[in-house]
Amino acid sequence: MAEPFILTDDNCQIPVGFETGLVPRDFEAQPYGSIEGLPAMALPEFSDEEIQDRLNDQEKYKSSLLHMRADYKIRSLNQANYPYCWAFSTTKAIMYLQARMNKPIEELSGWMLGSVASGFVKTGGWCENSMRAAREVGVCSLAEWPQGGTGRSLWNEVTKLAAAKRKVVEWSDIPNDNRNIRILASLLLSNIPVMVEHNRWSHSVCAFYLRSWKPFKYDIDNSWTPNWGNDGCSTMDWIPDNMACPYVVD
Amino acid sequence: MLFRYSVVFLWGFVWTSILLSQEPSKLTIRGETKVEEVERHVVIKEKVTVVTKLPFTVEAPVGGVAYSWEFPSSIAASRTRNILTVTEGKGQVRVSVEWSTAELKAGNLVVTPFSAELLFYIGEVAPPPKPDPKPDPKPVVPVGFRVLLIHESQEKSPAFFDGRAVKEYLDSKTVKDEGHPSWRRLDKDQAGANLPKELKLLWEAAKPKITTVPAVVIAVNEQVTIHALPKDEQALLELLKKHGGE
Repeated sequence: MAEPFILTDDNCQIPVGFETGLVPRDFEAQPYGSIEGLPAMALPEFSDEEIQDRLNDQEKYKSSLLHMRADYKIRSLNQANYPYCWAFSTTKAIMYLQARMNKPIEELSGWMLGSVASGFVKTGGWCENSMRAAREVGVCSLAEWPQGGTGRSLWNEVTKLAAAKRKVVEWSDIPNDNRNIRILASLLLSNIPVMVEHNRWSHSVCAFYLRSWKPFKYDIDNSWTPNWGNDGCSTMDWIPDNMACPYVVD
Repeated sequence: MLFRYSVVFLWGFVWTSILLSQEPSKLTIRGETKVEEVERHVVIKEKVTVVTKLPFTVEAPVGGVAYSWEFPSSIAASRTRNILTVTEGKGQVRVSVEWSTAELKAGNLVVTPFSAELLFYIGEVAPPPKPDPKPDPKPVVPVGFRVLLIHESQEKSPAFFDGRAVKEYLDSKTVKDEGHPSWRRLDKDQAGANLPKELKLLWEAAKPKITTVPAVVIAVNEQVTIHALPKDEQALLELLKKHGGE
């Protein structure tokens, strides 16, 4: 990957032909830890020293999800002008988990996850909606559910069986308080991809790499094709408003 | 006269009482004996369903989604949603199906799983197998070098566990199952339902024996060994090379 593309308030505009689609999580109605089937975060947090050691080790052993992105040739997806960012962020997180497992890499369909989770409605959402569907019905590949496909007729016996082959088994809710930078860093250094949601951007994306701790910078994989940012990715320092992560996909 | 009848009656009463008191059906061994426990096979007669004509269908309740049928390879059958059409086969058959119902409630997708199983016969009922004095044959262990790196997703594992050198070595040395190098990183609680059948077999055999994580499961042909994760990348590569070659 070349020099990082740093995302700021000045260059975060939505390109023509693309959409975002985040509906911010209502923390009063759905506080941290309250969602059935979405257990609270359990990974131990890393200390400052551990974070720096792990950053060095990831570079030494070329073991981060950034390295796996290159090794497994993971490409940024394309949500086009549909408000399904909340499904594409989950889809991309599952792809990174599959790479870490050394499963054969398939491009997965955020279109399928968004369509099924929304009841085939062109609507915004947040990552809990798509993660719930990924857990209950699984997710199709782009070969099984095509780019741009949103029709109810696509959800047939064939695609249902195909989706069931890729179900998220374990996932976690991440607390929305001032500790979440350290938790995000600990997850990324454990090679667990995180769906990060930024209300100021109305967008949900997949964080996959801690670039530095002090100053705090991490890389996200967007869903606006590889033509956006740096090969579809950018480096940012915004503190997410909401986060969740899958642990295990079967 | 009365005296004669009384004597006959009394004589009969005495003999009847003596015979009843002797339990005439019981036999007794007189000699040296001992008591041992032995197996006894009991034959139970039961009614079974026998399909007498091909083709036929096995049907699950309608209204579900994602029907997943399972049936033995000894029959030829095709699946269409909730209907399994059997075109060839003979003997005892066990068919099972899993499906779900899915509905949207207050914006959330609510999925309810179901399953069912049916045992029946096609053509004729084969006699039950006789008890086999020989032990079960060993499972067929696939030939080749395969590796599972096992961790607990919610615990810290060292960075070299995910390192590129380990991946490159395993990519080059493990056999390919379904066209992909046959090694995986798995969570210790993972079911592994979608693994290639060779790795699934290995995981099912090794999973109950893993006591600490991270761990390394190495299979070379029939030989399966489980190791604690070595202390560093060099030691891990040495362990792998010891089994998979330089």
